[in-house]
Amino acid sequence: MSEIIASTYEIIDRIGSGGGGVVYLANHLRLNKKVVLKADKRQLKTREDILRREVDALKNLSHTYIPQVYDFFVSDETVYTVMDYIEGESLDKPLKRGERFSQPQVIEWAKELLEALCYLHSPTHGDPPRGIVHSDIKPANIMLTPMGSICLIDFNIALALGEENVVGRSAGYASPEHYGLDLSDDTPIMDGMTELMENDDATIPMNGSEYSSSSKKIVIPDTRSDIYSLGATLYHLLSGTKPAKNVFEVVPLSEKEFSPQIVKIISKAMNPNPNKRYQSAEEMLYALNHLRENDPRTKRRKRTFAIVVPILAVVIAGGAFTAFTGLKRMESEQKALTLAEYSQNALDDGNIDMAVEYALEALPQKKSLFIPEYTAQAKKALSDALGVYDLSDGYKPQHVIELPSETLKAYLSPDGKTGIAVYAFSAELFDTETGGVIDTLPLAESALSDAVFVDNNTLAYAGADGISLYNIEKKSVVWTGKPATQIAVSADGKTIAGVYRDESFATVYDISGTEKATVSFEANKQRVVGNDTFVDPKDNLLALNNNGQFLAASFENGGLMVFDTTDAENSVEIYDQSEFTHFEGGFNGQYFAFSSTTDGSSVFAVINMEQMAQEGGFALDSRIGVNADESGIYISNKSTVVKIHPVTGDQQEVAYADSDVRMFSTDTQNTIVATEKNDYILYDKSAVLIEQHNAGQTECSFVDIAGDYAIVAGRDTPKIRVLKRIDRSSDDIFSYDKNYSHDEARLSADKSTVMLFDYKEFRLYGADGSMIKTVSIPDAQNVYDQQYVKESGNLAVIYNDALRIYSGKTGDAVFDESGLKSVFYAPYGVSILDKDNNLRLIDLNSGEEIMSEKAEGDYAAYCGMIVDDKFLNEGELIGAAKIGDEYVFAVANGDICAVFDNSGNKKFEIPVQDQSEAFFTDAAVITSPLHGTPAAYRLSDGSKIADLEVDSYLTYITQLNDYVMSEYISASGERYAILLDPKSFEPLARLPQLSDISDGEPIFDYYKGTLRRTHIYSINELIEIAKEGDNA
Amino acid sequence: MSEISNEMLFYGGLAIAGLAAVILIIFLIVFFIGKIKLNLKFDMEYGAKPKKTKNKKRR
Repeated sequence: MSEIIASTYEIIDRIGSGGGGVVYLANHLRLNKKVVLKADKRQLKTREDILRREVDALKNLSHTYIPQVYDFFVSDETVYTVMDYIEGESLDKPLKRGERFSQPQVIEWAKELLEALCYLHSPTHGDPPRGIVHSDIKPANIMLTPMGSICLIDFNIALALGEENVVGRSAGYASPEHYGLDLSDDTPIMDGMTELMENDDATIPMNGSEYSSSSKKIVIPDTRSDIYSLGATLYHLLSGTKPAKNVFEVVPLSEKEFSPQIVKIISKAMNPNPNKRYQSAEEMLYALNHLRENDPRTKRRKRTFAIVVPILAVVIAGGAFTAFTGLKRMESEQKALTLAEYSQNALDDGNIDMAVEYALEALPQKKSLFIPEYTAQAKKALSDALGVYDLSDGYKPQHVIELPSETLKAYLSPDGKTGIAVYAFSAELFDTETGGVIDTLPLAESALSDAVFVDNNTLAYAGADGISLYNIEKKSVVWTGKPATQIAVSADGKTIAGVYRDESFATVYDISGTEKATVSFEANKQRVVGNDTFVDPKDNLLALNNNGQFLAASFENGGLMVFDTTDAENSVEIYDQSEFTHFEGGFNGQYFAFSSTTDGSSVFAVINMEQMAQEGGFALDSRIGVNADESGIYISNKSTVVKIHPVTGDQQEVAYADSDVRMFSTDTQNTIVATEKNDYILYDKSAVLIEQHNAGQTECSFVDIAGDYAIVAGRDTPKIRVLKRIDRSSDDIFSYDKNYSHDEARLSADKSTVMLFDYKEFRLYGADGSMIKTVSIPDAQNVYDQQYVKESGNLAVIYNDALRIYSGKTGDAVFDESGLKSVFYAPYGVSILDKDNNLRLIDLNSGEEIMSEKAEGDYAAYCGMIVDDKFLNEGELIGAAKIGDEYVFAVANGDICAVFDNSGNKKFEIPVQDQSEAFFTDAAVITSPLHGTPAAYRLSDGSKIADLEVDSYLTYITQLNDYVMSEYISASGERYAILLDPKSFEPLARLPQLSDISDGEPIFDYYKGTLRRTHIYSINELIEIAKEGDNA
Repeated sequence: MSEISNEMLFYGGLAIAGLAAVILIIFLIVFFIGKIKLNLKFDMEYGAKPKKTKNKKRR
């Protein structure tokens, strides 16, 4: 018969027993439910009411991993605890069978146990801060359910009730506190402690009376003791080995066999010192829940990520910013290049204002990281636009007047200060000084509409309402007459005649607007094309003589008449009618000069109006152009313009162009011609060419010159170029006989002498302009080279087999030797190899011998040292220089030039063409082929810097402080220089007609009898000049 | 700056940024592949990570 306890529990089976008591499987008779009945034989001192209250607290415990406690009672002095029956087996059984558990499995169980402990240790379940302490955690008290989860069983109920003398312990799992030991201050192990821990059968009274030999305090197990037991349990589950009974003999788990983190967690949980263990189950659970985060590999990866990603992000950002900066700078640079090109185009068009404006825009004043330094092209554009290095006298582009449509006619006032340009169907009156428009005058709607200056302040024009007189100063129309298109004004400015299209009469007015006469053309009319709105063939002649008495007019039928406006009976018929279709001419005093043209053949004649007789004339099978006014009669034929005497026919050349003259204009001083090649060329009164320009793609149809101004216009362009005469004589530094022919003019370093020379002769002047000597150079046809020595003013004349050095003071030869085997010039001296094989270095300043060595080879050259034929290896020494204290020289051999240093070591090789010369600066070597493009190379490594001027011969390189000056002769013989950036060798400015450089300042020779000097302008100076010009 | 041309700045910067971006992408790929591999290792060592479940909050 089965045993029934407390009339409720029928014992089914005895499922376990131990030192603490016996565990039964029982059936709850009323609930008919299996329960576990744990009988504890230990004596409890707790009072019944307290017992009841605490059991109620235990009964309220409810957790997944803790069995539900139903009851607690005392029967027969045995304490019984009634709780859930958990199916499965405790973990000690598989351990006893030798089974091992995987680490993840153990970790999972550990977390479940810790969750259960967190619940139990919570102060809500007991006296704070202890909560409920299990006190006997070990594999045997952990049930593994069939579901795979665990359940913590077998509470030490006595401890939960606060009993101090009934603590049980399981060897190996029990913490030192279970033995009443307090190791919290890490005091060394003392006698008795180890023995106590190894005596696992003893019940430790918590008052510590049995452990009097130790100074250790006796303590009651708390939540940290459970942590120890759990650690020991995990130790056993993982390793399969029960931990040592003595905590000090526990062998740590192998970090090779188990994860180091797990080993550390278990070791920490099992630390003998409770203060060094996890202080709570939450803390240990946290460590287990954050295994991945706290794993060194994770930390290492995070650290790597935290270092690499920001670095790469910074590099990306830095690279992107650098690229962006480069892009912006490239854009700025490209913009500057484009603007520099615009500036050059504007300059080519003669529009200086725009050229300067574009150049200034290409040189932004604002500085930033995104704006690069000024480009060389922009600098050059500004210096070219300002013309600071053009010190020549002459007519320089000043402004461009842009009309709304193509130009039909353009004239200057007698003083040149005002211009009128006719287009369809208005006339624009402009100020040549400022380039500004004074007024726009509406014209009759015909391309024949004319506008003629009466004087500097008065203009007669074919107004929309009739012929009008306009006061320029007052900007008002003085009077308006009958409709007119063609207009003629007498030289005295008192009579004006007008003809309207093809009407057969002319109306003559006095200056006040009163009609003086109407001149009938009878049946004749002037030549007008079908549609004269847009076409003016300029075939008609309509001219008044000086006092307005005579009016010359040509007609469509080839007729030509000179009418007497005062007496029609005195009119002269030159042609009644003829085959001529084009007439030109005018009055000069009493003479009427004209040309009549048909099919490219012309007749020129002069009529004496006083004698009513022809004075002279001739016919040519080419077109003759005629300009006749009170200054004279000028005719053009083919490429020549001459002034012709009306009576004698004597001709004085005023212009000689290189192509047929299309139109010309003269004033008292100068002549301007427009040619079929669209050149516009200016000559002085001696027919000496002042300057020549080309209008480019636009036609050069109209030119006029008066006072200090000239204008150039074309039928196919609305742009009118205004040129101004510039006198730069204030820049003169020296005067010489302008008729003395020479190639070069050089000023000595001390400025005491000036030498003009070519290969045949030189002339030496004193600083005051007095001529010292003129010397013819002997054997001139064999001169190989000439070098002016600035320091002394000497001239070295170099032949293939001779050397002559002339004194810069007296003009006498200070060295003269012929029959030489070789002569080589270097800036520091001339090396000669004489007939006795002596290598001698001759001082260019004194003509004296500096050094002399006996040459041993067949050929040698001297450039500060002996260079024998072996070294040259059939090469040719093409340049040498002394840079600091070191010599450097270039030897060409075929198409390779080797540059050597002072020790004869080859520095590098560069390509070179036949017949090249080499120049040196401090940082570069420049090759100058006779035919080809000179190029600059870095002296440091021979890398190419830049190609220099194409199609010109580089004659010399001069290093200045901040620049390099390169001098050239163009294919057409023009001498000019290009100022270069010393690093990039990009051109910074063009210096036409540069003759010399003195004290770093350029000197110009325009072969007009003077030398002129300026200085090298810095870019800031140029900008200031440009801005001053703008403000002005 | 004068010795370094604007083209060098642009193309150099672009190359540096591009190279760094490629390295970053490669690093991130390697890093995340490594992370996956490490997670697998962790799964082996510490057990599979419990999947997070979305709990609707009750008001």
